[in-house]
Amino acid sequence: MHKIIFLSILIMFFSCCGDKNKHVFKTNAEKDFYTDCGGMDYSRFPLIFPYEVMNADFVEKKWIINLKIGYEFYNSIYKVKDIAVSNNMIFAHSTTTNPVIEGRAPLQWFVIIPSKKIEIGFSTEMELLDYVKIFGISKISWKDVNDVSEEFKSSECLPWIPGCSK
Amino acid sequence: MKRYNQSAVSMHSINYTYSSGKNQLASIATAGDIVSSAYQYDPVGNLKRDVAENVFTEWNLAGKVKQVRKYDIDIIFSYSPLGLRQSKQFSALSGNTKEWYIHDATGNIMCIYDSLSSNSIICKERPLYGSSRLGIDNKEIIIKSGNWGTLPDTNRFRGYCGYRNFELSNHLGNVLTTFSDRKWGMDDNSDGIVDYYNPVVTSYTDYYPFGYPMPDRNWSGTDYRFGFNGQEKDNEIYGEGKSYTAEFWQYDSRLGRRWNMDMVFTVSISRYGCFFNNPIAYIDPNGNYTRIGAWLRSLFNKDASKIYKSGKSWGFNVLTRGSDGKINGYVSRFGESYKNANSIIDVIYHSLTQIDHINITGNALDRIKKDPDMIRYQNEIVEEAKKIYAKNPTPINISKEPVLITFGGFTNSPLNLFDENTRNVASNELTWITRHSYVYANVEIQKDGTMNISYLLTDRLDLYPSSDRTFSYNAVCLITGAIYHGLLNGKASSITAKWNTTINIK
Repeated sequence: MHKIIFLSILIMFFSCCGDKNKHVFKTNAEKDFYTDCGGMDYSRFPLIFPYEVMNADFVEKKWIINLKIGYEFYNSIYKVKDIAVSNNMIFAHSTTTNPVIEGRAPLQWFVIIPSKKIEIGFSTEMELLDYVKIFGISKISWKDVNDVSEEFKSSECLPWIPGCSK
Repeated sequence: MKRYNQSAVSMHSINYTYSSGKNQLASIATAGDIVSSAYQYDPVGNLKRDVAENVFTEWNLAGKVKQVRKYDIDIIFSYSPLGLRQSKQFSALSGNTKEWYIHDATGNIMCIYDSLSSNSIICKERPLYGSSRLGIDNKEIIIKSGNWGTLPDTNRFRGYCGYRNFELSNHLGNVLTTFSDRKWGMDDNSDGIVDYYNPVVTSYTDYYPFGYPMPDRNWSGTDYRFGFNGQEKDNEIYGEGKSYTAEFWQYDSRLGRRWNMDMVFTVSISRYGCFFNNPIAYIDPNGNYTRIGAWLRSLFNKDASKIYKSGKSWGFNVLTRGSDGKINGYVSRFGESYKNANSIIDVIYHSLTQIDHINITGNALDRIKKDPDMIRYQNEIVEEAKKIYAKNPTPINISKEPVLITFGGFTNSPLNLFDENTRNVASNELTWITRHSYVYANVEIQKDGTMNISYLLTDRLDLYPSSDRTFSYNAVCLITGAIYHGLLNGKASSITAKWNTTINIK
C-alpha cells in the first residue's frame, strides 16, 4: 500500500506540463518556455518567446507581463485581463488605473512585436487599432487570460505555440 | 465510530449517514447505549431536531442556540451583544434554575449567579484564573436576599475551606481531575499526629477521543462545570459530559460532531466536522478555530496558558523565567497582527503564531536587495531614469506598475534535485520566504540628479491548493499545505518588505 502511495506521488511530481507537445524546439530554454505551466507559487502561460503571462496571486489573480524593453515608465503590463496573439504580435489589455505619472492617463492597451523589439502602450483601444493598421490588422480577437490559462493547463497547447497550430 | 469499554467489550458502534452534498449528518445507526436517530436541519444548516432523542433546538440570528426542548425539559439561552452566553434558564418537572453569566472584557467567566427568585441574587460559582483558568470557587455568596436594604450575607467576609475546586488539565485542555483546597491529614502510625496530607479529589474524568467520558474512569463529587477541551458541559441535554458549549458551537461529544456549521470555512473539511477528525492532536476551545494545541503549547508555553482571541487576532501568553528558571512574569502576545522577521525562522514562527502581516527586515531584507533578479530590475529603472534625466533634468515622480520578480535564483528543472541550479535555488532562504513576488517601485528624480526609489514587495505564505496551479504542483501543495496549514496550523500570512535606495544618476 505504501509503495502505491509513494508511486502515485512520484507520478504526480513528474506529471508536469510539456509532454504532449512533440514539436522539436531549437533550444531547451525555448522548449521550457513553451511547455512550463508554472510552479508552487505562480502560474503562467507562454505568449511569443520570451514573453509570458504570469500570476503569483491565486486569490486576486493579478496577471502580469514583464516587459523586456519597457515603454514610457512601464516595465510591466499589470492586471492583464485580455490577450491576443496574431501575426507574431502580442496584444494585451490591462485594467490598471494607475497613471504612473500624475495627470497622465494610464496605458491599458499594449502591443508587443518581439521580432522588431517593439513594446508600445496606449490609453484607448482606438489608439491601439490605429497603430496596428500599419501592420494590416483591423480587428483584434481578445481572449480572457483566465480562459487562456485554463486552455493551456488542460491541453498544454495554445494556437501560437509551435507544434500546436491546427 | 467504535468505542470499547473498560473490559474491551464493544460499547458503541455508530454508523454515520450524511445528506448528499451537504455534509449534514442525516442519521446514525448504532449498537450500544446511544440510540439510533435521524437529524433535521434548519435552512441555515443548524441542527433543528434529533428525532430519536426528541431534542428540538432553536437558533438565534447570530447562530447561537436559543432554546433546547427535550421531553419535559426546556432550556432557554440568552447571549450578550458580544455573543457570549449570558443566561441559561432550565425548566423541568424536577425544578427550575436560572443562571446568569458575568464575563470580563476578554470573555472569561467572572461569576455565575443563580437568580430565579426575584428576591434573591446568589453568586454560586466564581472561576479562578491565573494565566488561564485554575478552578472554580463554589462558595455561594448571597448578594441580595429579600428586599434591598437588608444586610446581605455577612458570612461572605469569612474565609472558607473546601469550596474551591482546582482543575488539572492535560495538553489538550481536557479537565482530567479536580481537587479541593482541603487536604486530608493522614496519620499512618496512629499516634494522633498527622504524618502527611493527601489531596481531596472532587472529580476525575478520562475521555475517549472526541470527549465522550470513559465508563468506570469518571466520577464527580462536585458538579464541575468544565470538561473536554476546557469547555462548558450542558449535561441537561444528553447526560453528563455528552454535550458541550463554547462561544461558537454546540458540540455533541458522543458523535464528535457539531450542531452548527463552522464559521471558519476550510477547503476539503466538513463544516460540521471537529478537530480535523484528529482530537488527539487538535483542540478547539472556542468552537471556531481548530489548532494543534499540544504542539504549540508545548513549544511556546510549557506552563499551559491557552491561546485566546481578540477580535480577529489570536494571541497567547508566553511565560518568562528568570536565571534561576522560575517564572517571573509573562509577555502577552495578545492581539498582535504585525511582526518583523529577519529570517525564514522568524517568518515561520510568526506564521505559526497566527500573525497576520509579516514585514521582512534585517538579513532577509538585505538578501532581497541583493537578489540577482531584483538588481536586474533596479538596473532597468536606473537606465530608464538616466535617459529621462538626460532629456529633461526636472523633478519627476513615477509610480511604477509592479513587476513580478523571481527571488532565489533561476532553474529550469525545479523538481530535479540533481540539477545544480535547483539545489542553489532550494538552499536559498528567499525561495521559501518569497519566491515569485510583485515588487512596486516609486521613483523620485530630483533636479540635482538624485534618484530615490521606494520599493514595496508583497506576497503571501500560501500553500493551499488552487485551481490556478498545475495538477502536479497542487499534489505537492496538498501534502505540504496539509502539513503546514493543516497540521502545524501555519497562517497564510501576508509578507511585505519595504526599502529605499538613493542613487545619483547625474
